Amino acid sequence: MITQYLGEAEVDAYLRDLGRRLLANGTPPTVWCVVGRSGATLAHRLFKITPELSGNVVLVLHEREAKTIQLDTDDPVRDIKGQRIMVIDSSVHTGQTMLEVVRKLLSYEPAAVTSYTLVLKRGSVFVPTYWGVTIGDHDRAYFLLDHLPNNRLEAKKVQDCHLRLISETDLELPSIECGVDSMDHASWADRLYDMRCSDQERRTYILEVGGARVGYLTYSIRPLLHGRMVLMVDEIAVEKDHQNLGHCGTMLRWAETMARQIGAEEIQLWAIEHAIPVYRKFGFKFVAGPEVLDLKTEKYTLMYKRVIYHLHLPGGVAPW
Amino acid sequence: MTMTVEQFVEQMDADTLVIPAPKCARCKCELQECLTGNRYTEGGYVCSDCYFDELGDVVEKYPIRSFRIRRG
Repeated sequence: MITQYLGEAEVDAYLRDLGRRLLANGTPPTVWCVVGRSGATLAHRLFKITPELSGNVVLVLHEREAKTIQLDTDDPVRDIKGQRIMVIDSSVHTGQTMLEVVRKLLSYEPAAVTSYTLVLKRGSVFVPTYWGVTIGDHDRAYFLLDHLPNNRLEAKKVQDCHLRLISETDLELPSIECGVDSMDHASWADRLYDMRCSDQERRTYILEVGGARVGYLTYSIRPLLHGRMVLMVDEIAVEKDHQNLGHCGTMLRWAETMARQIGAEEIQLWAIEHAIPVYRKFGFKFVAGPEVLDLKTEKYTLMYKRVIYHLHLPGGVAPW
Repeated sequence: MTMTVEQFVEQMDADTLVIPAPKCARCKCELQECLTGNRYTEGGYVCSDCYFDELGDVVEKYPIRSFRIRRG
């Protein structure tokens, strides 16, 4: 995973080029459809850098939950029909939003629709007319920020924490007991053995908070077809006396960060039957099948959640 | 409401242009993709703090166990 940072100088340089191109082709846009706040920020800078650009501005509001695109105009036919439109957004990830915006605009019969984004993800289903930087689907691009967000384990309820890989020094230490017998009976020796002898990359971490060992996480990295990978959460549990304090969330954040870092497409886990409805609320889905492990006393179903930003790949094939 | 480029620039300069931004369904913080995260849950889109907080509580209740063959 690569993080790109675009400061004022870089952003303005891209916008300066865009402004120059739009004026040079002789028919600059007459209506600017700016998508959300980030689109408005870019458009604002573009107009300051290239004051020769003129026309009208229509805000485009994307309601993600309702899945609607709204043009902030009381008469879209008057404002769009016959006009040369430029759609501006800052980042295009899946491309779905910009695709829907363009389709909506085309329904009002403009003379032309062009589009611009500063950042374009490689797997986007929509490629605009112009764009600044192309990044990989696991990469991030920050722009015009006065502070850059650090990676963190820290969360609302947990600050004084770190993770460490288990080692031989843990063999003498008591288990972390979460209240599930089958997990509490597994030893650190079992986990160390699995970690060292697995033919997959497998890691067990202990979460320490304020010096106390409060939980553990084991994940493994598994290859799929066509060079794709998944991160499997094999084990995760928190000591009984330290539950409901956010520790599990801390470890899950690390698992997801690592999944992005290695370019995994999905996080997978075996969900026990009665927990399935809850996992579904968080966007987990059944792995095709579904794949079920029936142990008679307990039943598990393999579930997954995409790490790549809601990218749906036709036929399950990676875009690269 | 449609505005001219000049009106748009004026309002952006004065920071008076109101553009609605999505809010976390739990903590109501303003969601910004790259800063707070913007994650789907059945209860609405939430920031990453709320996401891991709530998901973590669920996983703690149903810990995920590994399937292993006993050595020896």
